[in-house]
Amino acid sequence: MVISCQDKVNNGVLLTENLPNNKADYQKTIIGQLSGKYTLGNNTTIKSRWSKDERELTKRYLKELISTLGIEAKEHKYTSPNLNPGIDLIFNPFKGSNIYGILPSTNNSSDYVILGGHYDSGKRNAPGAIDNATGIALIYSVAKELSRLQRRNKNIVIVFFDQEEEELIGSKAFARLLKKKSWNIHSIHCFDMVGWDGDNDKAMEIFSGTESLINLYKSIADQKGIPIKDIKINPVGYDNSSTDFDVFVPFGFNVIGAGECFYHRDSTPYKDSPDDTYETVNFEYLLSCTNLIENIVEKIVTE
Amino acid sequence: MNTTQRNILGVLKKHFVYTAVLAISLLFFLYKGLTYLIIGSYVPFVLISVVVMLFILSSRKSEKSFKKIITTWGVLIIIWSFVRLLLSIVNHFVKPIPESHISNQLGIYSFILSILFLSGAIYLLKYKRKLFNK
Repeated sequence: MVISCQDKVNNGVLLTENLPNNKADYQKTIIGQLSGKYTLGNNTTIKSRWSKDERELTKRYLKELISTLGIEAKEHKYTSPNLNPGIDLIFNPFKGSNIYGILPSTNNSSDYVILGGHYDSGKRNAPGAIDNATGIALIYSVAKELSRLQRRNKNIVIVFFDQEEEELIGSKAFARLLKKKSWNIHSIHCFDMVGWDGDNDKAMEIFSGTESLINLYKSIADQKGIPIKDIKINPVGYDNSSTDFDVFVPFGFNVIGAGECFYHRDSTPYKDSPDDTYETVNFEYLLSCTNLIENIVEKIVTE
Repeated sequence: MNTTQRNILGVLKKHFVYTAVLAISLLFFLYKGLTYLIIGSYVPFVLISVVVMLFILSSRKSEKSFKKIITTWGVLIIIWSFVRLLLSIVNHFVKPIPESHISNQLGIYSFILSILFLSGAIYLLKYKRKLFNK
């Protein structure tokens, strides 16, 4: 007899205490809460973000997290076919939810800057501290710090994608949603794995087909003394499927992906394993990257 | 509707359980096909449409042809159930399937559904001859 055991989803409030005020501290708290290091309300722990129930719990946490910014958390539910029609015959379609919030401009602008990263983890029992609780912490930090700006000429959308680890299903659905909206998308910035710096050079890897975005990242990184390792991609016929960044390229958006130096071989060796824990995150590196991205997005939304 | 179709319909009316099992199996896959069609995948809908068309066309031809299509449909459902049951067993006892989306569909409800469809298909095949015996 095959029996499926599923943990019951706790319905209480998850974020029962205020996050710390200091950026480094609240980043640690968020990553700790998302990777099972810290317990949430009603003794709930997010040990992994792989299964449906675990992602459901994470979704609730992320909604509460977005609410702490004083903005409404929205849920983008989607249903997508399997990649192989043969699998469609046997199984149900993908179902999931992207969680997003909009930090509005201060001048009723119709321009939007999207900051996105996935919230699911790659394998059963993988806590996903670096992959990709760090990306979520970075995006949250940037939104929190930029919410204090007196003047924002563009809306900032923060979005946490579901099912990146399953053929980028969540971000594909979100890209289709963006195409339907009448938003004027200035640029999309995707963050995946921002917590490993084995050679302590503070370098950040970026990949994009948009020259202006690469130059902007490079110039601000240069001012801060942060090395940038860039990969220029050709959007024509682009057909890669590694990270959320990849799905926005064929749609024709100005998109840039950033994170630790995955393609330059300075990346966590614990990806998709039970060892991708809180303890392996280089918080100093995460903070350095966060400050860089904050400056870049600030430049974009204030110009 | 020709005479053969009227005869087949008459037989099906007399055997409510058999007809219900056949109809439920077809409606289940028709619903699945329509669900996928709405989200942009046409293969399941095409497949079930072909099966329904074969049922309609065979019913116009002869009872023998209609029985053949029931056999084909029964075998297809057995394959479908068997694959799902096999994957459930592999997922739980041999090697867990790494895809959350698939693994999530191989729980107890999926197991029961597969068993029900397997039983239904065996029933369709077993009582097919009895159905048209005069």
